[in-house]
Amino acid sequence: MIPLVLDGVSKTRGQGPRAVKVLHEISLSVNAGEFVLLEGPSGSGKTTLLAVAGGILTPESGKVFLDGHQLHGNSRGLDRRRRAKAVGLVFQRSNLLPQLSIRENLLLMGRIAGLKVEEACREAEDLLRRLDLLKLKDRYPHELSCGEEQRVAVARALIHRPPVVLADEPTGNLDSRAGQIVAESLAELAKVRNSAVVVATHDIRIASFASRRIKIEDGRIQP
Amino acid sequence: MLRLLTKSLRGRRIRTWLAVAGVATCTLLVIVIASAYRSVRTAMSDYAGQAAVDLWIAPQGADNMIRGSFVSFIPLADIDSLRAVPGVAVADPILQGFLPVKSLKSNGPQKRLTLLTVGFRLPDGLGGPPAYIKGRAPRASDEVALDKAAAYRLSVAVGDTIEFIDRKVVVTGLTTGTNILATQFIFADFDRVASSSDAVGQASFVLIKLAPEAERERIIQTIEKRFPGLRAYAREDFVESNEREVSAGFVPLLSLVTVLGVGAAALLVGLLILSVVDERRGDIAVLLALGTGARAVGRGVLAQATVLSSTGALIGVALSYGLNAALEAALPTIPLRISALDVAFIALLFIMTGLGASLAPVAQLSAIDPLEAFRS
Repeated sequence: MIPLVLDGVSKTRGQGPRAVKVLHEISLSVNAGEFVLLEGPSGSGKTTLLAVAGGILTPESGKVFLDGHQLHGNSRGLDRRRRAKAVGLVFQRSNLLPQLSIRENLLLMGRIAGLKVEEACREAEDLLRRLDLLKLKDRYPHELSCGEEQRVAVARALIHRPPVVLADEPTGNLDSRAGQIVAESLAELAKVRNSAVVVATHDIRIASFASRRIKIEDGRIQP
Repeated sequence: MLRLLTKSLRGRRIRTWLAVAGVATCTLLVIVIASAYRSVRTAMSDYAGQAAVDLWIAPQGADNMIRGSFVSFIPLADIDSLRAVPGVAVADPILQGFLPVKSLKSNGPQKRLTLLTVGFRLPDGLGGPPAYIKGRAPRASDEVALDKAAAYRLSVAVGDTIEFIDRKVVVTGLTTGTNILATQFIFADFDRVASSSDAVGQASFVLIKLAPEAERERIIQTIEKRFPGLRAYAREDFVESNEREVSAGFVPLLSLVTVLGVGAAALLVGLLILSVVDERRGDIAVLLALGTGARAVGRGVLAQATVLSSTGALIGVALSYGLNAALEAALPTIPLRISALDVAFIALLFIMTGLGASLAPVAQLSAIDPLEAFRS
């Protein structure tokens, strides 16, 4: 089963005279274990594509399949549960919840995705150990460096073993060394967990991890 | 998950504690007013509801102690006739009114008070104090018993001499359950009170104890038939009338303070939750983007409001008991009778208020776009 399939997806943002068609009949499949780089200038539609692929935005036309299930044709609750289980998200900022410890941030994602408490605890420990962050598990996000925060965000995206990981400029706020480590972590963990990864980025350092590169411009995939 | 969600949406600590303190203060305020009301109501009903008294005989129009005064009286000559009614075992007069009292301490300023005076037949006629906390009943015309709060206000104790109706009298006992907030009771010899208030030969009320086998309703009918200017009230009816009179004065104030207190608490909790939703908008967007349902986030916010208002209400309850103990020890003039039922109701009211006030901010959650999580 192909974890992520977009079939003729179009999306317009804004209304009336301000309406702008951001995505034009995008079709895309990403296989398990594949690491796809989504490249393009600002405003080309990368983030919108990720949001549509992750089930956060609903396209006007076309279909989105996550882990074999079509999104947007069901109740909002069912779509939400499916995308919570099937998708891991990494944002440009870590977006860790500041009131929760590192471990709690991971546990909360696990619980949102439907893991049992014990299962979520086990996965969190495993990921933090792999990322060499176990000793920081009881710290709070503000006590971490930006690089450490973003690695925790990668762990959060993978705690529920999602078939699809979507990352929007995950190294955009990091220096080159930290960015390199985060990119390595994401690529390595996604490979171990056999997730399909789509990374929207300008950062050419990530290109070395990509198994495929896709260029997007004005909402269209370039040949 | 709810615990983690609630924790993740917690507001700033200082702001949260200020809101908790605000709810606690509002809760305390309403409990204090309710307890003062309960105390005055209980004081009136404790006195009027003394078990030794079966019937209260009053002049027409004076159906409770607040309306009884030196204006309308029962002639003492009627008392013998009342005693002659079959089934009446004891009939004693009382005379009530507001009379001045002065402390006679040699050191410090002399203190003057106007107290609700009850003149009764010494030493053990009907209508004496409902309970003593110190000392004994007055036995002679130069002895009085007075409420402990009045004694505090006059700075006198059992055995001290005070000036009462221009004569020196000795305080023989301190009474309790006789503080009606605005003033307190003093108990003195009936004839002494009568002679000093131009009410010689008259009584404010006549209190009746019935013989064991007497039929109360029949006796009430007989008295009202034989004495057209008088009304006879069963004890519980007279108590109810007193309570109604107290309620008529207190309940509007109590209602107003409750509405204001609840309104202030609602504003505090509502504002805090609104600020949490505003301030944590980015985190809420992240939660929604990660797949948390808006309802689950709403439950987290409501749980926070419930914890906040419950903590405030419970602190307010604890403070009210502490305040009561402190007032009892240091300032007995303010009587508070805290009823567990009142406290439970008020605490619940404030918890529900907090919950209700957070509904509007929770409704705003639907306006938060999960896409905000992608914007740096």
